[in-house]
Amino acid sequence: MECYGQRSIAGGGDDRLSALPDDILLDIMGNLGVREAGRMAVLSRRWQRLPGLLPRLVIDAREFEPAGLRAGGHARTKRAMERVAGAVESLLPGDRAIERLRLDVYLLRDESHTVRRVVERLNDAVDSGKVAAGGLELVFRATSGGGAPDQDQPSKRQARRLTRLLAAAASPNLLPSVAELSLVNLRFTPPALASLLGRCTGLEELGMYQSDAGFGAVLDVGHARLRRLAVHAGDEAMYKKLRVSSAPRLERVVVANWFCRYAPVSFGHVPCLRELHLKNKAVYYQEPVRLSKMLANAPHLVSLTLGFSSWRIWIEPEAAKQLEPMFSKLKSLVLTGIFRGCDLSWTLFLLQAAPSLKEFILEADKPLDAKAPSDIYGEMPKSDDVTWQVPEFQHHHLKHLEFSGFHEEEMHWRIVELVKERAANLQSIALDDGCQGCDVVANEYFLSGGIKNKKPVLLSVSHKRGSPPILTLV
Amino acid sequence: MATGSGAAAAAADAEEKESGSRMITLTSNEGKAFVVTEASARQSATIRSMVDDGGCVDKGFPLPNVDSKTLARVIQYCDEHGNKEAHTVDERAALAKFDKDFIAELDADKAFLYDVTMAANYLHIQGLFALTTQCIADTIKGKTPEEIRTAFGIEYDLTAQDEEEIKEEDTHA
Repeated sequence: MECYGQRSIAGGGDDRLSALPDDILLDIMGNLGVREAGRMAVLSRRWQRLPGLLPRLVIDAREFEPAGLRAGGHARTKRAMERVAGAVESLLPGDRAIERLRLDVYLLRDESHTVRRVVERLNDAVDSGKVAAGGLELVFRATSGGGAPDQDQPSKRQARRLTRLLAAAASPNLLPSVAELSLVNLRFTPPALASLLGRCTGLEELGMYQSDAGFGAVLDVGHARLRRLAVHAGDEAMYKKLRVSSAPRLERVVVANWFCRYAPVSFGHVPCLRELHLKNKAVYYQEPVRLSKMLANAPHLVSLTLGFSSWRIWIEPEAAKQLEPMFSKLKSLVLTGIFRGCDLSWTLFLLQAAPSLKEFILEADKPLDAKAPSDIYGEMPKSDDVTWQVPEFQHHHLKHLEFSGFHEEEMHWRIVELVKERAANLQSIALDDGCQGCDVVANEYFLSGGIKNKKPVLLSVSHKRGSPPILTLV
Repeated sequence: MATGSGAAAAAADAEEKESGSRMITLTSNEGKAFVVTEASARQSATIRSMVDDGGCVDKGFPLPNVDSKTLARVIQYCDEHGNKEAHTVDERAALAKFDKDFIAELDADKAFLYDVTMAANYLHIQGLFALTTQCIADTIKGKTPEEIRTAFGIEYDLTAQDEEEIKEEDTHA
């Protein structure tokens, strides 16, 4: 048997890439993207037949853009799509099986027959069983209106065309075979979106990027196999609410930016939900979200990220008891984009409500005062607007506190002290001023005593290159 | 209810610790024995299935395809990923940093990188295999065919006709 690790293979020199067996070479090529992998065919006879054996094909229109033309321009995306259609037509025929096929395509503003060519090939591949069931990943990107002032708006026209194309040309087996679907910059009508999502019965991952079903629509998701869901709204994408009715396998949800007045998402049956990221730049008409209510059906969260990035803290202070059932399994809590000057002691109620928490990560924003807030964010709250009670409690599991964007000011020192007092088993605190290359300010303070000369705290400070100093409690 | 599930969880926990604390011996093709925790050995799907099938845990596992130097390095990876948790952002960051340093070191010695890749493939250590193949792919990325041939010592054996056909296909893509 061939021996892995012996250096005696003849002609090896320094590099023995060709000594690797085909299946490993295919894995390596699989990491390269189809265009680059295709280029490797000219290496030698052996390499020539390899691209045709790839079990996972990734055809991404962005890789096919010609270099000479203006980025984002119509001519460039059109040319890229012609090449994609050509690549699909030359790669999909043949009798080999494809486990996974990812197609990332542009929808063009003036025609849809290029995409139709792609869809027709997909039909064949799916109908003949060449692409494994549930082996499709599709990304549809609307291209911009070409310099029109409303170019950032999700495209209604391209959504309409896509809907029509799929209704007319997609084989009945096509959409049920889609495991991953991403829609970028598309505005559907509510029935069109509902029907599209409804037909993708095997969906495991759904991404809606600046895509919606028009102003005030509710996005309804309920897929038996769905595991990951991401909804990123741009300033112009305005769904009213995300409703996840039943997704028994859903593990991870990301919602970034919402424009509804109340809680952005409601959960029905989501017994496997472990990870939730909610980020929003709250605007003046939005009511603070009551977490215990929104998460009532998500009691198994392990990791929660809340992002603010505006003057508004968009969650409501709550009694820890009320939140505890939803936070009982929480291990990691991350709060980002909190404005500079905010008294962070309010964050303690979250810590109190999560007795199993192991790490608590705070990220203060860059100073917002550098830029006047625009009108829609309403009045600038004073830093004492968020003055929730500071609870007294003991926390036994918290091991690590991290604070990036830390500045040597009383507010910031205070939260560090408050957490330190409550967390009996805290092992490390990492403070980082968020400024790459600046010196971190923390050491001296800790070694010389606390705020207003509370009892001195002994710390060992370890410096690792390229990372913030870790202050270890000793 | 609460106490019941708590007790069950504690029992499961204890059981996990029990099996995690077992030690397993892996033997390289030179006959050198490496003793690792079961948690570490379970990073390998090959060994995992042998252990779960009630295989010869006590006698240990001979690995006739892996030499000592390679096995030592593979175990270094398995120890880190098998014995450490990855629940929190920080734990994951620590693992990612380990991976980064681990692969940077391997990348400097390509022949050794291939040995580790082959061993990861043979032992079905998914994370390690993904790490090494990605690293090799990154070396290839952005190079012209001629540069790749030089870098990897690949012998050019295509006929003019082959080349013509490839060019033909490439104009589509």
